[in-house]
Amino acid sequence: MIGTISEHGQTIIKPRVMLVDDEECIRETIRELLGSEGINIATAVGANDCLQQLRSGFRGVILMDVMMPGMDGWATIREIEKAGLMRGNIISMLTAMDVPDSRMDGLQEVVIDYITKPFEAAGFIASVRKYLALLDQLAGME
Amino acid sequence: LGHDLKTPLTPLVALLPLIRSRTEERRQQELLDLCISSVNHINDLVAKTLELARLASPVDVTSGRFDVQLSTAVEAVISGMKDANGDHCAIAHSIPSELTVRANREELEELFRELFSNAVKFSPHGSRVTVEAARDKGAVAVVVRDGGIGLLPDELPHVFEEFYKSDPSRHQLDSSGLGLTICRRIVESHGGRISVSSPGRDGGTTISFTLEAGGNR
Repeated sequence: MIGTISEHGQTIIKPRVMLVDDEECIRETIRELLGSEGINIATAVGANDCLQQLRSGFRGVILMDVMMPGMDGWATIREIEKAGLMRGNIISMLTAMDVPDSRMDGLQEVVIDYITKPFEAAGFIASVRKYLALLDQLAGME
Repeated sequence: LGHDLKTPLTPLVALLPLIRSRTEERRQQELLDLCISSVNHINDLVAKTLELARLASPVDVTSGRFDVQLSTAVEAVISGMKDANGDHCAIAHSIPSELTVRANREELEELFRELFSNAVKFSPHGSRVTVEAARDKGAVAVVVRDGGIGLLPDELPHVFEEFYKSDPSRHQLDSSGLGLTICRRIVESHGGRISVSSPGRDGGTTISFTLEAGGNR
């Protein structure tokens, strides 16, 4: 199930994955990895950018970096919840930490997984495909 | 520090193999293989250095410790290593199923993973690594034996030191010199003792250690 939007007569594949990460090298890496698999992504450089894209209608898988300047990944999730923009989204955290973070407690319904940096291409792509399948499954249940 | 080291490693770990798969030119493939091998070595060093730092940090070391069935933990590690190990070297255990240890499960598995990976790395094709364990009063004594290249007497006192590499592995990029240091830290933080013995070059190596037995509280 791929959403499309029509713009000036052109059909554009609507991204179903949003990466929120302040590091350009990570944004470019993930854009290349998923792009090579035909998965179009939206990117956000921080919390405000992410919230703006959610307000503009993005719904899908959010890959959320934990450590960002200003508002970190966890605070960003609280803001998304506060703004009532969580519905229709699932979140996986991107982290350099090795162990599950206690700040995940209470957020299990929306934060479904962790991906630790550095990650290998195959495992990362498989994880994102799994999240997209889960998203379809959840959409089918609504 | 972990964030600052791991973030710039991510494009290298994830993208170099992708770039390698896109090139047809043989010399470029060779050079990219060299880069991938070096990046993997740095990645391993970073992970192990951060792990050593974590093990040395002043936290409540007893948190997250439970009674763990030793045979199950060992089997999980053996199973997880099968893909990487292939048929190079068989790992077999004879640990009684009723034997439990009081341990942090993740650290316990990491301990065996480091020991097995080290044993396999320095063992010839077709050889065997064995694991035995037995209750010894309030502790469980574990012995890991391999039929590998062994150690000389003057190497034995140093194998648990940070960045120590015995002579045959000194120039190998896939050896960080930190694996056995991590093993020692894990065992000692669990209140146990670890030691090494070897009859000499090509005589194999035996690592023995103790862990607190489970079911004591």
